[in-house]
Amino acid sequence: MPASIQITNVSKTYQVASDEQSIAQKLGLKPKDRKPFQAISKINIKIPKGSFTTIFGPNGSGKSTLFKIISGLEDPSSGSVMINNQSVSDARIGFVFQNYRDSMLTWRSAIGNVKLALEARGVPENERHDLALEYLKKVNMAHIANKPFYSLSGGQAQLVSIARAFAFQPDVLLMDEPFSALDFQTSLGMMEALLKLWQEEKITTLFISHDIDEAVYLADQVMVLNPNPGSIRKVIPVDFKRPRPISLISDKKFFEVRSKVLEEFRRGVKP
Amino acid sequence: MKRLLNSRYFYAVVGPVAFVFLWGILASLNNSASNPPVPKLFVATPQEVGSALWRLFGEEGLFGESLQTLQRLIIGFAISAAIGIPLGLAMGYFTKVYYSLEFFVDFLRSIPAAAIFPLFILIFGIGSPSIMAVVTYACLLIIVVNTIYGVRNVKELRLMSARIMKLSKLDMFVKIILPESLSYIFAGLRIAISYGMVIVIFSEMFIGVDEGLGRRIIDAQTVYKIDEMYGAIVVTGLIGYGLNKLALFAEKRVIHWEGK
Ligand SMILES: Nc1ncnc2c1ncn2[C@@H]1O[C@H](COP(=O)(O)OP(=O)(O)OP(=O)(O)O)[C@@H](O)[C@H]1O
Ligand SMILES: [Mg+2]
Repeated sequence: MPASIQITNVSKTYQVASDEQSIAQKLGLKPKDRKPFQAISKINIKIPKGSFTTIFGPNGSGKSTLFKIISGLEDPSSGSVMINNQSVSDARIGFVFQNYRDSMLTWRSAIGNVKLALEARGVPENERHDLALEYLKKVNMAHIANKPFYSLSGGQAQLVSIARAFAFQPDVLLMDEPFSALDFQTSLGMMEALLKLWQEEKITTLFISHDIDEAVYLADQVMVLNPNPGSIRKVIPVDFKRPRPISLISDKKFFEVRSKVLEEFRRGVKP
Repeated sequence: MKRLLNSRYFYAVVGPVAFVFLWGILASLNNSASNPPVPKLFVATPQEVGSALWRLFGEEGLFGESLQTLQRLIIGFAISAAIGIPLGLAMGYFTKVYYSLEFFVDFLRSIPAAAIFPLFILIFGIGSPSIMAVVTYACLLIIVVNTIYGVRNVKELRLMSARIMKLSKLDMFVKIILPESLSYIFAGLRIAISYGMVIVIFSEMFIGVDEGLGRRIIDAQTVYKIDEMYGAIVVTGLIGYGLNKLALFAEKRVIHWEGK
């Protein structure tokens, strides 16, 4: 079941060591004086069930921090996140990282990695193989099921990690720059595969992107962030009908939305 | 011919063969000189060492003695691995265990194995058990420290994805931490077994046992049987070489994904 995400007044302040203290920290000493550093400020948004939201903001605008809060890895300093009117600790989160080499199990095969999600879900052992293969089929990766993970190309590896995220049957799917380590051609294929799967499974998805075309092409809405501290600048709706052909990117209407996003982004970054 | 010249095994043989050849030439040049630069007493030609080895293995049971040395090493090493790996895993995983035991590890690390000899002789008496205990002691710390590093070096992102999937503590340990620390654990085991070999030979030389490679070396030396001394040293080196190769082989089989 897809879920809605309700983010209410979320702020996050880290306690960071000052410069000379951070050297002490590296040496294993406890830094004495710590300064507060605000990473995100008062984020308010309700994300509809089954929608696709991309997050577009400069480096350090707190995108990854927001994901950590939504996935329950970090607590917000104030405010709250509810997923389907439940706390995040009761929700199931699928997470796809940019760095698939460090987030997946190198020692397992492709299908073994997808199985990890099924193990986590408590699927009985005799059902895991067929089910994992199903998910690999959904991203067209059934043919490399038994290959060791380390031998996969970047695109294949990332598709397997997407399959793993979906196999977890998440309420919410979080993707942190999943395609930014891949070449242009490969990431086009990835976008197609992802959208196809997303439309089948109707999972509420948040997608961080540094590529404006990608951000607009994928989204139902683009969330543009301000830096220092990170906050929502504007949420721009994108209502092209789906499925969207890739040629949409060169369409005039697409260009209009893209310009709007870019304009907001630039105003946010300007001092 | 070309294939031979491209084979690493070929070059692995070339080095040692060239060495023996050079050794033979230098030794016979030295010994045939009217006034040998190195006293003849200290020089043995490869042929002499070869026939000494033939004699030692044939009539004098060097094979059995090598096995004894190997047995002391393997038992001591196995005990240290059986204690050290679980201990290192626990210390790496549970900070409370780490802080409770950190002192002992660092304290013992600064006491050389040689300083522990006398204590073990008091406890275990003169003989094999003392030697095995020293080997265990020496290997243990290396294995513990490496295992701790292994656990500490597990990629943060992998732990994060496991936490997001709400893996149980046990699953997290068995499915993520253990496999990922294996490369450090194996590195520790490899260093430990080489060091253990040093320790076992050294202990045999100075703790009163009647048999063993270390014993052979020191006995041959005291009666100036130089050829036999070199023979025993060569056997020691070959065993060490074999053990390291074996450990590397096992490592490649177990951690098949490493370095790829
Ligand atoms: N654990 C932490 N402790 C202290 N400061 C942190 C921590 N995590 C993030 N920050 C700081 O918070 C700010 C936001 O970081 P975050 O990683 O969320 O940015 P981001 O938008 O994902 O950036 P990027 O586009 O580079 O990935 C940064 O200035 C970062 O240095
Ligand atoms: Mg980030």
